[in-house]
Amino acid sequence: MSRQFIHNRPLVVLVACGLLGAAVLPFLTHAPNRLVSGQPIWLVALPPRNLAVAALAALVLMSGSFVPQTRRLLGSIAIAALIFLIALLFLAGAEARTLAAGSSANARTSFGSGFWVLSVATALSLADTLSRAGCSASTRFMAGLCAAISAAIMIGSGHLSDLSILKEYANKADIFWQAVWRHMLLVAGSILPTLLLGVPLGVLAFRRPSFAGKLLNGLNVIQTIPSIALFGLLMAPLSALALAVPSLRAAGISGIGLAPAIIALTLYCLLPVVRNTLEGLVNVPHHVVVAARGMGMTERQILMQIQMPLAMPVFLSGLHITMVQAIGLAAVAALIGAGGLGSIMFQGLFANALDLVLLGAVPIVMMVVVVDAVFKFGVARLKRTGGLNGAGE
Amino acid sequence: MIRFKGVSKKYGDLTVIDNLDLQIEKGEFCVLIGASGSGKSTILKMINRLEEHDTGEIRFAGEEIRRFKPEVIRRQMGYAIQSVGLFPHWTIADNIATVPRLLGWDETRIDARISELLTLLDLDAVRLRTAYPHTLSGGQQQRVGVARALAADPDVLLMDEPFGALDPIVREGLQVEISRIHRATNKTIVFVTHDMDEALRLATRIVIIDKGQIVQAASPRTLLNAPVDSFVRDFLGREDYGLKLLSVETVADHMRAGAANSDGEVIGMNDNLRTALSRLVALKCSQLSVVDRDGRAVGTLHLSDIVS
Repeated sequence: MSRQFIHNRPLVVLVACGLLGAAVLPFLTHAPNRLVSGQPIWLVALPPRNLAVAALAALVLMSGSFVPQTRRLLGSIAIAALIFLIALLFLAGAEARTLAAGSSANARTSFGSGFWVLSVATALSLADTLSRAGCSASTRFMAGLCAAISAAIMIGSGHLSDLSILKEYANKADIFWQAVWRHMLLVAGSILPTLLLGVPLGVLAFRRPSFAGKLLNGLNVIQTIPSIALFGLLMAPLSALALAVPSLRAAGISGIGLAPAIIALTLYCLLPVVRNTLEGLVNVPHHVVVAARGMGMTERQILMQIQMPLAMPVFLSGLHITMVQAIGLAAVAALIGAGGLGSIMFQGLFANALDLVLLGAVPIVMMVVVVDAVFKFGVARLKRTGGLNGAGE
Repeated sequence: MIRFKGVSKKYGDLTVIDNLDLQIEKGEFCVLIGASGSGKSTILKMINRLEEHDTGEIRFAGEEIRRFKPEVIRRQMGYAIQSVGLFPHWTIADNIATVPRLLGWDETRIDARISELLTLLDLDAVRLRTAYPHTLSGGQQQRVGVARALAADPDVLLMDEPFGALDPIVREGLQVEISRIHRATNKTIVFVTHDMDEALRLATRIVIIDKGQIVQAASPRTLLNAPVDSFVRDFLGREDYGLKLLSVETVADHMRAGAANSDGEVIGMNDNLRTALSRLVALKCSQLSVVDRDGRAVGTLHLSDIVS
C-alpha cells in the first residue's frame, strides 16, 4: 500500500520557507529615524483582524500540497497565492500606518527580511502553480498585472505612504522620475546603436566565418572587463576627444556622463545581439536556402524574406538577454555621472539608507519584469501566427 | 533546349565533370543516373548556375547561360529537390506563389494559378492553401514542392532526386503524377536519380554518368537492349535484368489483336509487360484480355507472347 501523502513537493518546500521566514525573521522594522537600526515587528504580532484574509489564503497554500493536483485545485492555489501576496503588502501598509500614528515624523517603518522571504516564496509558488496548470503566457501576464494593479492602487490611495520606501519617494519624487526617465534613456540609447551595429555585424559574421571567430572573440573579451573598469577606460579617450574637437564638446560629449555610459553599454550589449543574429542565421535549414536560391531569389531577398524571419526567434531571445543586461548595467553607469536609477541606489548606499537603495532597485526590477513579459508574449505570438513551430525541420 | 559543350569542372584538384557534351531537346524527359559522387547532381545544378562550370559552354535556348543573371535564368526553370525545402514560415499558397511573385505577376493571376496547381497535384485546394508546411506529410510536402517548381509555368523543370526520401507507395504515386504532367505539358524535364527502376519508368532518355563523364545516353529500350559495356550492364542489374526489359515494352506491341473473348482477367493495352507478367503469375492463368482506355476489349495476351 503506497498512498501518496505529498502531491506537490515544490509547494511544500516554498510554504515551509515562508513559515520559517515568518517565524524567525521580522516582518517589518520600526526605527525612530532612518539612521539607527529598527526594532523588529513580527507577523504574528499584527492585529488578528488584519491577519484574517492572509491567514485564510495561507491555509489554502499550506494544505494545497496534500490533495491530488487537479486543474481546479491548482487554480485555487494560484488565486490564494495572489491574494496572499497582495495581503502581505496591505498588512505592511496598515501596520506602518498604525505605527506612524504614535511616533514622530522622522520615524521609519521598513520591510523586514521576513517580508521579503514571504513575498518571494509566495511569488514563486504562484509562478510554479501557473506553470503546473499549463497556463498560457497571457494568463501569467494577467496574474502579474493583477498584482501590479493592486500595488498601484495601494500606493495611489496612500495606504502605503507610511512605509519608509514611500517616504523616501515623497522626499525625492522629482529626482525619482527624472532618474527613471534617464535610466530608460540610457537603455534605449544603447539598444538602438546595438541593433544598428549588431545586426549588420551578425549578418557579416554569418557570411564570413573567419571574421565571425575574430569578432566574437573580441566581444567576449569586452564582456569579461568589469563594467566599472570599462566605464573608467572610456573616460580618458573621450575627454581627450572632447578637448581636441570643440564641436563634440559643444554637443555634450565628455569623459563622464551620458557619452561614455552609452558607449560602454553598447559594447556590452553587442555580444548577445551579434551572437544570436549569427546563431539564428546559422540555424536556418540549409536546404531551405538552397531551394530559395534555386527558385531565383537574390541573396538580398533570401536574407530578408527567408533567413531573417526564420532567425527571428533566436534573435529575439538574444535581444531579450541584451535588454535585461542593459537595464541592470545602466545602474552602474551612475558612477561616472550618467544618472539613472543607479544614482539613487548609490546615494542610499553611501548614506546607509537602505530604503533609498530600494527606491532605486525596485523600478529596475519592475523594468526587467515588464521586458520579460513583453518578450515572452511576443515570441509566443510570433510562433502562433508565423508558422514558426515547424521551423528548423 | 539545353546544350553542354566541352564542359569541365574541378573542385581543387578533383575533376568532377570531365569534358561533357550533352544535348537535351525540347520536350525530353532526360534522366541523369549514376552512383553518388558521379557528378550527376552537379550537371543539373550547372544548368541553373547553382554550380558554375570552369571551361566549355552551356547554352539555354541558344544563349550561353552566363549571359543571364543567375536569378533571371533560375526563374525560368522550375526547381525541385529531395529535401523539398519549403519555406516553413510561409503558407502553402505563399510557397507555391514564390516564383510568380518574383516575376511580378498580379495577385488574381497568382491566385488562379495556385488553385490550378493544387488541383493538378491532387492536393486539397481549400484546406491546404492556408496551412503551414509542417502540418503536411512528406508526400504532400513534395507535391507542394513540385507545384512550386511548376508555378510560373517554366519550359524547363530541374529535379534533383525529388522522390528519393519518400516511401515506395508515395513515390510511385508521384512518379505517375510527374509522368502525366510531362505528357500533358510537354515540358523539358531534367531529372536526377540513382534508382534505375525510376529512370526506366519516367525517362524518354537515360544518361548514365560515371566519374563526371557520360557512359551511355539512350532511350530506356535501347539502353536495355544494347548496353555499351559491363558497367552499364551492372547498373541495369543482373538478377532482374529480364524484368527491366519487360518494363519498357507495352502490352499493345505484343498482344494478339481482335477476336477477344471478354471473360477472364483484363489488362490495359498501355500497361507494360512487367505488370502483365506479374498479373498472370498472381492470377495463375496463362492469358489476359486486353482492353483500351475506355475498357473495350481489343485483343488477348498469352503468356508466350511476353517473350516473343
